[in-house]
Amino acid sequence: MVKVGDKVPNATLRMMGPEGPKAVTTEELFAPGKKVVAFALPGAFTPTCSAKHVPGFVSEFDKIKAKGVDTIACISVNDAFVMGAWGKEQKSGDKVMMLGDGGAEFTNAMGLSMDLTKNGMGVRSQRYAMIVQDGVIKDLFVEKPGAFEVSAAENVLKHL
Amino acid sequence: MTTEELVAPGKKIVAFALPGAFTPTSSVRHVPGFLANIETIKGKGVDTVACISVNDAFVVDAWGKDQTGVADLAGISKPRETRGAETWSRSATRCPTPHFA
Repeated sequence: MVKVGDKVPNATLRMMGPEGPKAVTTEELFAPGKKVVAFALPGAFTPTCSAKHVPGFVSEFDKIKAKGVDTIACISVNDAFVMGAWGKEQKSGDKVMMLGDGGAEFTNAMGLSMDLTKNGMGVRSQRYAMIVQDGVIKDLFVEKPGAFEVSAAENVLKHL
Repeated sequence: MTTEELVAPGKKIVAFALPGAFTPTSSVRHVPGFLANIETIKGKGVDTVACISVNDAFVVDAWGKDQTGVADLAGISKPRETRGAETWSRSATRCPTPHFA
């Protein structure tokens, strides 16, 4: 698993655009000079995520941006079509980038995957949040299995 | 839901599969085609129409709700709940207890 002080691993994520899915590399997302809050979760349309995680970041958007954050990104092992549909439902708009890591390339590189094959979900991301400055992880908040505490927008905000 | 339940002896099933929920061709043509023809298909003695995709139950369920909205536009007269039950597998046995999610 990555740790504070590590560079975010390189991978290509995908998000839904007007013309369809488009590639977003981690080099672009976590470019030098940028301060980024990224959070990851086990799956689009799952109960905790839908009910709490994404809405927290959408509602705290102004406060997070006021701390000098350039981008808020949500990452899940789903494809861009699903993330786009979920973003519409969540009304994430321009506030939270909804990024799909369909093949779990990024999640595996982070060392934060978990195997939910027995639950019919395949390899997924653990729930976590991180603060990234200039491509380097400044804070990392990984949840214990089933928990939803440290990766919440309210907690991340305290560390910005 | 196991395939043993889905395709149990005595049942006639039409199953179709596609690359992903919420993808354009699947959403615009594939699923709506089965929804629009559900009465005709049932009239041929088919017990169940099933859509299968490599997505989890949460995503397929959300997509199913989205797709029955499309069917409303197509003028299908059956109640939404009935159509959903016929067309979508969102049983509790298939949907994992989301303590991890």
